[in-house]
Parts: sequence; C-alpha cells; structure tokens
Amino acid sequence: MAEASGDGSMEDRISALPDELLIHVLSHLRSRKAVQTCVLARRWRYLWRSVTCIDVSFEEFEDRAAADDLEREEMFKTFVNHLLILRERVDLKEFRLQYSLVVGVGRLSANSDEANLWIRHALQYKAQTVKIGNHSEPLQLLPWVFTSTYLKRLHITNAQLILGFFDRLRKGCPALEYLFLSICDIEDLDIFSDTLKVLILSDTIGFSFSFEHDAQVSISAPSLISLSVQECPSGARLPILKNMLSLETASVLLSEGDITTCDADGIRQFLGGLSGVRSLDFYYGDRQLEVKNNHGWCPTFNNLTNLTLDRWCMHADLYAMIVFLQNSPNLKKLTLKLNEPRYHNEVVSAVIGELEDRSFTCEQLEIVEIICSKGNELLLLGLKQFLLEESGIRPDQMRVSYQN
Amino acid sequence: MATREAGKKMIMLKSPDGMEFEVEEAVAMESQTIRKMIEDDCADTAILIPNINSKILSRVIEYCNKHVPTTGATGAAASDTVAPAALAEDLKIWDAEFIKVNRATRFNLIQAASYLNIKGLLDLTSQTTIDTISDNSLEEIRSFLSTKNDYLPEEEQTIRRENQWAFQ
Repeated sequence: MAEASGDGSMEDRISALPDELLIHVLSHLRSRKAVQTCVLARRWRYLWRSVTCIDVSFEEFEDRAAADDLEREEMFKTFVNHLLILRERVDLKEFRLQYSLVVGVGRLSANSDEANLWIRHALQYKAQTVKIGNHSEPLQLLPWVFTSTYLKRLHITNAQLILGFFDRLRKGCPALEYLFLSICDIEDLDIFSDTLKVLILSDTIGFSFSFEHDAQVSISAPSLISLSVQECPSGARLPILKNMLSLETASVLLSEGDITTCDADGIRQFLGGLSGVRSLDFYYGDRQLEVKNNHGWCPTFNNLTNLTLDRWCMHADLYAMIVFLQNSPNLKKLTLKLNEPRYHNEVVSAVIGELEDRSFTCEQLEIVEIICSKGNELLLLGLKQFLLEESGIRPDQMRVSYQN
Repeated sequence: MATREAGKKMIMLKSPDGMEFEVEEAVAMESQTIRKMIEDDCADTAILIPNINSKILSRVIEYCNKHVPTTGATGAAASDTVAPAALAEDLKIWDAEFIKVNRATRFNLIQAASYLNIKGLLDLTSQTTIDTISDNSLEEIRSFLSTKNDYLPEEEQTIRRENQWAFQ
C-alpha cells in the first residue's frame, strides 16, 4: 500500500489486529452491516456472531424492495430472529431496537410479541443498556419482560407500558439507575423506584387511567439525583413528588395539558417535592394563573444555588421571578431566558399576582445571566432597572447575551 | 505493590527499538495492561512494551499525558465546578488534532491501544474505521482495510446465501 511506511504493509497491519479489536469495531455498527462483513474475507466470516452490542433498526429496511410495509416488517422480523438465534452466546453490553409497527393491522399486543421477546433475549444476555425506539404505532411492552440484575439504563420511546410496569422494574431490575421515557402511555399511576438516579419523562406522557379515577400521579424515588419532566403527565391534578431525598437537579416544564384542576395549592404541592434541589430549571406551562396576593404557591428552596427561569415569570412587573427570589435565600446564580416565549392557544403562560414588598435577600448571589433576543429591549430595560436600581445588583454581576 | 508518595513516582517504558521513556506512574496507568503489571508485581525496573515502536509509543504517551485525570490540590471530587464541561470540550479538540495521522499510523495506534488496553484511545482510533464501515459499500470497506477477498467466487455465493436474511 502506498501509505504504508516503516515496517510491514497495510495488509499486515490489519491482519495483526486481534479478533477482539475487529469485534469491537463491529460492535459499534448497525447489526445488519455487521453481519454483512461476513463476505469481506474468511477471517470475517463469523466475527459478527460475537458482537457485544446489537443495534437493529427498521430504518435499514425502509428502502428495501418489498410489496408493502407488511412485507417489509416481515423482512425485519426475519432478520432480527436470525440474528438473535445465530449469534454466539456472548454477553451483551447494549441492545438497541428501532422499530416501526405497521399501522392499523391486528391488535397492538399481538404485533408487539416479537419485540417483547427480543428485549427478553437481550436481558437474558446481560445487556446493561436497552434502548427501544419506535415510529408510528406504539409498542406494547409487557412488564414480565423486564427482569435483569444487569440492566442499568433503559430508554423507551413511543410505547404503551402495561399496568404493573413500575412494580416489575422495582422487583426485577435492582441495578436500574437511568430511565428515559418519551411519548409513553403509562398505565401505572404510581411511579416509584428505590434505585433510579436519573429519571427523564419527555413529551406527552399519557396516563390512560387517570381520567377515569380522577386520581393523581405520584413519583417517588428516594435515590433520584436528577429529574427532568418535559411536559407534565396528564391527569386530574398535577403529579405529586414524594421521597425526593437525594434530588439535586430538576428541570421541569410544567405543561398542564389536560389537567383539570391547577391552582396555587397544586403548584405549591408540586414544587414542594423539589424544594431540596440545588439546581432548578422551571418553566411554567401553557396557561395563565392568577394568584392575587396568595404567594404561597412557591415553597422555600433552602439549598437552591442555581435557578433558571424564562419569560413566564416576567409578567405583572416580574411578579413570579421576585417570589422565587424571595424564597431562594442561598441562590448563587440566576439565569433568565427572555428569548423563549411560550404560547399555547394564544395564551401567554404566566403566574400573575400582586406584591407589596418587592425586596429580596440573596446574600450569596454572584451572577445574573440574561439571555435575550431582538425584540426583548423593553423587557430587558425593566429587568435591569429592577435589578440594578431597586435590588442593588452590581453591573459587573450581570451578564447579557443575545441568542435567536 | 507500588506506593504513591507525595513525590510523583516515575516508571520507565522501553520500546523494542531500544528507546526509553520515563513517565509518571499515573500516566502509565492509563493503560490497564501496564496498571495490571504494576499492581501484580514490582515494576521498579523498566517495562518492555513489545510490538510498539518508539514513534508510536511516544504518541501513546502523549495521549495518556493529556488524558490522565488531574486531581485538584484538595483531592476532593470536583462536583460543584463548571470546569469538567470545559475540560471535556478542550480534550475533544485536542483529540481531533491528535488523530490527524495517516492510515498506517492510525492502525498502529489502534493496535497499541488494544494491546495496552487504553479505552479512550481505542475508541478514538477505531472511530474512523467504524465510520468507514458503516457508510460504505463492502468493496470500499475491503479497500480501506486493505483486506484481500480470499473466498473463491462460489464460496462467497454460498456465504451470501447462508446469510441471505441479512442481505435481502
């Protein structure tokens, strides 16, 4: 080879690489590609069988010649079944499944059969990370599948999680630390885990039974360090957060969606569950709440050093921001994102009230970071006036940056 | 068992072409293989690193030097500072520069990273190979890897048929 210099040719160099190394490379590939390397040369014939990561994606079959989507789905199933049965019995590190159920054919539970078995297989081979993604129809995931003393990270997108899912996770997955759920239909009302350290609930999480029972969703996780809720679970009331004893960081977009009852008390109860955090990003959802002079919706955050708020807290003369500051005595850094207005059905999200005393004491406050975009000038002017003239923040403690 | 004193303990690494490199023990222990050698028996004398010439070994040491975790004076876990994110970004840029080498050197580095068991370096060096294999046709992969197809044509056909489920 032209590039080869010094000792040995390129070919020698490759052949000097141990099998484990080539398997390491194959383990980073989509599984279909990994299997196809069997025709490269004799040495590669069986290497794919020992990969430690399985990454099967329906995407790889989307451009295959097939009569229709159903046939394509059959090709995909055939592929995954062969792969799982023909591979060596080696332990897995990771299992990724990106599925796409054909819409409107048969019952959801029957269509999800294979996927449940595949996940079971991966867990039997000690996969520590399992990522299930899905387009179109949601997969129906069965609780019994999730039994593994090795599973640490679980990501699920677009699935229906059958009643008993969280109970099964608690009993069956004692090593689970990281749970990411996006666009999931959760039948359990109580989310609880003694082992989870990170919990991310993203996009609309529907709790299918919550309307019928007029019940409240609860999240209880004493080991949880980081919580992120983007779009709140739907239900009659805001979810209640319990036993958040270890929680340090929370990022919450409190979009009430279909929540029927939401008042100052509801917000207080919800925020109360986060009152021990050190870092909080809080975005109030998609409606206006008028609280008049009942400022009790905001609990005291004694540990809070890092607070991020956006436009919702700027209304009514910075009302909500000031209430937050009055309740965060140990704050070190305040970040205000003026560039992210939130509208929902043309309603500006805001908590609006009336304050007599606008002063606050944050002795440790070091910096106020303001992120704005063009068009925020008036808001910025009012904010600066309040912080610099009324509150005694020094100009060098304030940082303004522009983002679009 | 090597002990860690206030002063930094040094380790001598020798390449087969006779060069010697004196490195801090902590740096050498970025390699799990060397770590095991140090922990298992006494590594007071120089450690010979077989199969890795001085040119490649010096690059490997350069990598380990950059990636050895820097413990602050307090020795406490850095949890409160913003530094880790900035540091990671800095390392990424450094890595991108480091890996700008020709193909032969890269394969030598992969081999060294594999033998010395340095996970970060292995991931970094094999990434191009991974990218090439994921994005290109089998013919292009063969040429990139300088792998000769040693199947007879009919053999290759059989193997394709055997694994038809992955080719359809």
